[in-house]
Formats: sequence, structure tokens, C-alpha cells
Amino acid sequence: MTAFLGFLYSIITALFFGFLNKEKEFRCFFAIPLGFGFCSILYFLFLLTGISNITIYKIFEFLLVIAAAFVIFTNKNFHNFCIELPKKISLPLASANLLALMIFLKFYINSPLGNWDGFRMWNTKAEFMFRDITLWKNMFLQPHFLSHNDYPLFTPASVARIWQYAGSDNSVFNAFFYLILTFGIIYFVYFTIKHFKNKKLAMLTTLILMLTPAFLVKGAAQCADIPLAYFILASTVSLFLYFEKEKNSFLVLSTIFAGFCGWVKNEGLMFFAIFLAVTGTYFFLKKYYKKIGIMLVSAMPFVILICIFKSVCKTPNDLVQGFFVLKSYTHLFQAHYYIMIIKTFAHMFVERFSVVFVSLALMLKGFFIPEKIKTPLILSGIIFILTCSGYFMTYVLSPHDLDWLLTYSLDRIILHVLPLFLFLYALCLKIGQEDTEN
Amino acid sequence: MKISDNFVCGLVFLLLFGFSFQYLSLLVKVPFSLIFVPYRQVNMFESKSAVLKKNSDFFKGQKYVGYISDVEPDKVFLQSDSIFNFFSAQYAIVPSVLVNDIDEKYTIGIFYKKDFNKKNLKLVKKLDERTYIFEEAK
Repeated sequence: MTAFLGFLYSIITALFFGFLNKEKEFRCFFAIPLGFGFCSILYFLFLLTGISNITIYKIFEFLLVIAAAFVIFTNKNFHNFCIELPKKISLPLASANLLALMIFLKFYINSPLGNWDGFRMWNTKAEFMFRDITLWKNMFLQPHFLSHNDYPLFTPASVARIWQYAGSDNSVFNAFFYLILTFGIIYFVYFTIKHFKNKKLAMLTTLILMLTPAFLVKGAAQCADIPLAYFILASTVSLFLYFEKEKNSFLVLSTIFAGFCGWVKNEGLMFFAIFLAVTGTYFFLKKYYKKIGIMLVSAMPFVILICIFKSVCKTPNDLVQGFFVLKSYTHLFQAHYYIMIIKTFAHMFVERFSVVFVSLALMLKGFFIPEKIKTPLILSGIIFILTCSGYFMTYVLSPHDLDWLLTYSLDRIILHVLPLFLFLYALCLKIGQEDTEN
Repeated sequence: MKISDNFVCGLVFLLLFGFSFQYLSLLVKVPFSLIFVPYRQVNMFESKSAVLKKNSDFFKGQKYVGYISDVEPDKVFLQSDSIFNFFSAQYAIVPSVLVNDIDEKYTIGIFYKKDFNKKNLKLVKKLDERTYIFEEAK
């Protein structure tokens, strides 16, 4: 019972920090990644201090919660301290939600500690950050090629922090953390599409994502891929909100979420770089130099954080090492690498993501892009294409056995951008518009 | 011909129902398993690491713990079963780090064959039919 209360407290604390953002409609769904992200950084920095008494961390976080509460309740912009949840959930959405929950739980029952990657790479690191906080750096002594010691610590730190409050490393707690993220992203897709387009399209797109078993299974697999997908989507949605409301706070939020991507996985670092490059170039061409400054200032803490982490882990990146030491750049001129990636992608998409083909039916009504979302849609489209191209080139340049790498990672890579793809795709559709036949 | 929104919605529902039909039985199976099946105890990761986790105090203060198995040391990370055994043991003995050699004070042995070769190690404790703790022979 005490463990459960501690676990609940850890969740509530994390969400409370996330509630510091202002947008009422999305507050809850921004709060999930923002709060957990912020708390994971706090926990990591605390471990870096070398203090062996975890109670000090808990007191520190409690004091921060008090400070956050003070900011929220004394700021006139936060007077409406509430969230908007659907008053009435439609029957198809409720039924699909129940079925999706069962698919998630089925995989959890099969693998309570996560799948192979979740167990080996992420939960083992979480154990290091939980069991003896003075010896947590021992995790970097594990065999690198199987543990990926250079991967940032959002998920291990979040899980270990939750375990600290719960006082136990019971797998129920980490599974619940991933459950929140998995279903958080689903409903985030719903609310964003409802906001930018309409309820009907939001429901249809959400149903497709909700009933994609590969998405739910990877959520229950307890890997960093679903959290990364959440941060990528949150960054993009914030960018749309910035263009809609023309408030710099959303540009800051968008950059922060992109920065968090770099704190989740190395692939997220690529997204972070692409995000900064694309939006930075746009503002430069428009001569909005102040906006570039805002973005750089917002990105700086994450750059510093990632530099600190990389200097602590002292582990070379296998891709970079492969490029220079194993001369993997020679792969660039070998056509069979490209063919194998395309063939495996096509095969895997048909085999594991066949539900996504249902989204083709949404095209029957044609396309309609409102003028107000054109700019962010183009920017996000460029970011999406560059991210996918980056993933493609990562495979081409990887020093590992390509067949093995594709088999065990391509589906996860697809998931990083699947919610973003469905979001951008839905924004282009015509269904549910007032001028269409209903 | 104009297509109505309701037609598209109906089509999407129908297709999604077709795709999800195979999962409907989970509505009964999953709650049953959660309530009546000791799923955590039978899970391969949990069961494998649980036996070592109970004895993790044994390795307290040891930065490194050795590892030995039926698999040749240079092939430990080439076979999926072997990798699984190695990491299950690693998970259990955190914050000690498992290394693929027998030069440490303690060595964990995971053997599937009964006539295993423990080399020059001294058996300290047998944890179950397959899992052993050895000590470096003086």
C-alpha cells in the first residue's frame, strides 16, 4: 500500500511540473512528457552529485513542487487551473480503448519486465539507478554493443525515480509508466486533430493508432521508442500552436520538447538537430533573428545536459566509430544496402502495420489544408522527411550486420514517426469539414 | 458521385473491426490471466533473475562478477539464449557488473549440461539445477 502511494505521488509530482504550461486544452497531454522529462533530468543531476541519501532528493523535489504550485496559483494566466477532458466518449472510441488496453496488458503479462530490449537496455539501467545510487555509473561498464551505454537516460531515470518513491522495483510500476505514455500519446493525437481540424477526423485517426497492435506492443515492451514518439509529436504540435497563437512560449515549448527527444535516445538527438536546423533556417529567411535567439536559449540547457551525459558515460557512439574506424562510409556506394532497407521496410510495414492502411480510406473525401496551418505543416513535413531520411542513412552507414539490425529495430524506428505521420496526414484531409457532405 | 462522411466512417469502422476481430477474445483472456495466472513468476526474465536476486547480497561490494556457462566464452554474445542468460544474471546482481571471464572473486555459472566444466573454480553455492556461484580457487 505504501509502495502504491509512493508510486502515485511520483506520477502526480511529475504531472504537476508538466502542468506549468498554459494551454488548457492540451495541458494534460503536454504535462505527461514534460513532467516526466523534467523529473528524469532532476533525478539524473541528483545522482551526479554523489549524495547517497535519497530522502534529500525527495525533499528537494517536494520543495520544487511547492514552488511550482506558488507559480501556478499566483500567476493570473493560470487562474483557470483545469484540464479539458471529453465529457462524453463515443462508443467506438471507448470500445477501441478497452480492446487496446487488453492488447497492451496481454503483452505486459507475457513480458512484465519488457521485451528483450526493454529488459536488457532500459530496465537494467533503471536497476543501476535505483538499487545503489552511489554505484549507478557501473552501468557504463556493461558490454556496450548490447547495452548501448551511450543512450541517454530519460526512461531509466524516470523508472528508477518511480521505483524510489514506490520503494520497490516491482514491474507493475514501470509498466504503468509506459501505459500512461502509450495512451497519453493516443489521446494527444485525438485532441490535437480535434483542435486543428474536427472531432470526426480526430476520432477516426485515433482509432487507427489505437488499434495498431505494433504500437501498443512496443508501449508494453518498455523501450524508449514510445516516449520518443511522444516528444516528437509534442514538439510538432507546439510548433503548430506557436504559428496559430503567435506566442513565443509555444516556440520555447516546442524547442524544449525537441531537446527532450535528445534526452530519450540517440535517434532523438538527430530529430533535435533537424528541428533546430529547419525552424532556424525558416526564421533566418524571414529575418526573425529574435526567434532564433529564443530557440537557441531554450535548446542550450539540453545541449549542456547531453554533453554532461556523454562525458559521464565515456562511451563512443557505434555509428560515429563505425564511420571513422570501420569506414562504413563505403556503404554509401553499395546499392544492395539501399535495396535491403527498402525491401525490409515494405515487408515490415505490410506485416506489422497493416492497420495503418485503413487510413487510406480517409482519402476518399479528398484533401483540404486550412490556410492558417500551411506554414507549420510545410515545416513539420520537412522535419518529418529529413528525420526519415536520417534514419535511412543511419541504416546505410551502420557498422552492424544490416539484416540483423533491420529485423530488430526497423519497426521501432517506424513507431518514432508514426503518430507524427498520422497527425500531419489528418491535417491534410477533408473529412468533417463544414463544406462537405455529412 | 459524392461520398459522405458517414460512408467513410462506416468503412473505417468496418475495416478496423476486421483487423481487430482476432483480438476480441483478449477481453476475456487478459482479465482472467491478470487475476488467476501467476504471470510474473512464470516469466522467463523474472524467474531466471529471481533466483540470483535472492542471493544478490553475496556479491555486495564486488565491482565485477565473473560468468561461466556451457557456451564457449568467445560465443557468449553470439547466441540468443546465451545473451539472455547473461543479462538475466546481470539484472539480478546490480550494482555489480557481470563480465564474461572467470578471473573475479565470484563467478556465476549457468549450465544446461550436467557434466559441465567448472574449470578451476570452487563451488560455493548451488542456487538451482542450472545456476551456481563459484569462487576463485586459491
